[in-house]
Amino acid sequence: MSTIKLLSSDNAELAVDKEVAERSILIKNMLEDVGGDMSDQAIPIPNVNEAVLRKVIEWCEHHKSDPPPPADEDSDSRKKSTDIEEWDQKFMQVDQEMLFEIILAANYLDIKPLLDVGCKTVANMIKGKSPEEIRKTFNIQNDFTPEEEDQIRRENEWAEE
Amino acid sequence: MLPLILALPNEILSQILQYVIYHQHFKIQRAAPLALTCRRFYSLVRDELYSHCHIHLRELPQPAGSMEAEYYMKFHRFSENDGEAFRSAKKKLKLFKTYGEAVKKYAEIPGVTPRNRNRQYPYPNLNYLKSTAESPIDSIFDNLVSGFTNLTTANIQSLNPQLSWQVPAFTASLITKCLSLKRLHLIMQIWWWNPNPPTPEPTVTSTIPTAVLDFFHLDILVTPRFLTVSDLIPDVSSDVEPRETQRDIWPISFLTKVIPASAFPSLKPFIFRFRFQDSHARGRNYPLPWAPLPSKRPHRLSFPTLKSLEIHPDTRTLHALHSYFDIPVENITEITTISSPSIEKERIVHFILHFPNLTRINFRHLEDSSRISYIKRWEHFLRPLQPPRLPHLKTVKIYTKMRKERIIEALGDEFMKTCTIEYSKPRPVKRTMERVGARTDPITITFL
Repeated sequence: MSTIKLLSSDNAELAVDKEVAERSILIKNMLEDVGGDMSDQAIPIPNVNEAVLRKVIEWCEHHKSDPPPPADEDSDSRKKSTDIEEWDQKFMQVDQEMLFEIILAANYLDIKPLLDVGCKTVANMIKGKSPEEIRKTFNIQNDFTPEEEDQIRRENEWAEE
Repeated sequence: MLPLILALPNEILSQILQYVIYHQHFKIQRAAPLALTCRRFYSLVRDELYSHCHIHLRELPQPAGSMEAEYYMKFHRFSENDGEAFRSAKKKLKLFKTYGEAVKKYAEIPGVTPRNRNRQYPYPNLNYLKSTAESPIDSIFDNLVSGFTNLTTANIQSLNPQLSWQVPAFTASLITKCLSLKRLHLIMQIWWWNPNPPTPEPTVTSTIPTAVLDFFHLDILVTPRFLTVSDLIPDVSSDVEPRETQRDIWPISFLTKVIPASAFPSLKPFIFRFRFQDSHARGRNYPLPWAPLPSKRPHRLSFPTLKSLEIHPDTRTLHALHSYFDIPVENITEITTISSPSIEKERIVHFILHFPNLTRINFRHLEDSSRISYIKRWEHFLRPLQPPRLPHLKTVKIYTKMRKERIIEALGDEFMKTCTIEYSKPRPVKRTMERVGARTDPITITFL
């Protein structure tokens, strides 16, 4: 099996199986475009640092033999469950900074299943919490004026059944 | 320092929001706390929930003379199921009327509540509108239009055929006022229309001349692709369910009558494209009038460059072609016939012979697919199409269940000297049952 090298933003070179790296549609397309093998040259991943890249590769390793996700773009919203499989749950037990970095990296590298897992993890952190709890969880400043807050509260009253 | 979560781009935040709302089953309430955390999330939630709107209008059973009407409103993603959405929206409407800022504006729309008749309600976030009308309150539509400054997609349905005549007026006002509109989908049902509407409203009758023809389930897709308004080119097409094909559909004349080009002085090149792709016309979904044709002919549409027709080979079609279209028959070099198993083959031939310069004919759906039926008298079918009747005819493609050998036998040696017969595509190697009626294959007959 051929390996390729990835160059992180902080200039760390990581060797990865081609099959694993191709979980990233960005890298897959890039390799297809180049045509020949890239074994002697590292592919620069300028938006992702070494720690995050290692984490992403770890995920790709574990999921390398997953079937490709169904191709339909407008996937049925009813199927949007936030259930996460056990391994991924453990994988996502990281600090918030790493979590958001992974999401951004998955978005940049175009690894949709990983992006989904990341979004689900964040969604689970939001669900069932009060506005104040959400602010606390994510360290968000309340930037509404009291009048605005009152207005929005009334606006959303219908939603609180 | 910016909270880490707010460093995520909106697309990702919106994806997270969807997971929050949709987990297991749709629950809009889950979004409310998020909207209250900060401005960024508030605008995200608002855009997510209120960018699509479905408005359902209907008349309430009222004492005579009352103008009250009810409308259900559904914002996109409030529910997956339409019926359920209406129910929940109806329930929520009361709350909307009291609280919801955006929604409250609709609740005050003229005709629904008589107050504030002339006010307009800007709602810049809305880019998708789906409206279903059962109620004859066109002023609601009109006022809605003025508020939708950024509307890009509109989907208008009229379930009540008696009211469909309002929809074109609304459409007219929509495409002239909403310059941001990129896509408009109208669905109307129009049955036999009484040429003298019982209670004509002056403002409406002035813009909508009476429709004369019989329409059923008219489905018009208008796609203005314009940089400036004077460049509007709507795309008009129609789809009909097969079981409804007995009814008459004639959208073009309807459109030219109800939305005359003169109604839009700023829209000079108001060109109707009737599912014409390049020079190809399709007649598939337009079984043509059986009802009496109007005494006064509607505007005839000219297609001088048309070369190819896909058509239901019926004399009624021909009659309608003459009545509504200027299509020089001598320009047509290719015809594809469809849906004609029930038409006598002699009549199909008769139809074809109206086009003297044909070089190619494709016969499709000649044979019934449900029964073992096939063309038996090939010589009667093909011989009239040969020169000198159609001097330029080179190729005839027929989808038939009959085997090539049987056709050659049926045509006889004399006829076979003038042509060759081939299967248009390689036949599969294995056939378990070699019998007539097993399947339909395209056969190409080339005249020498």
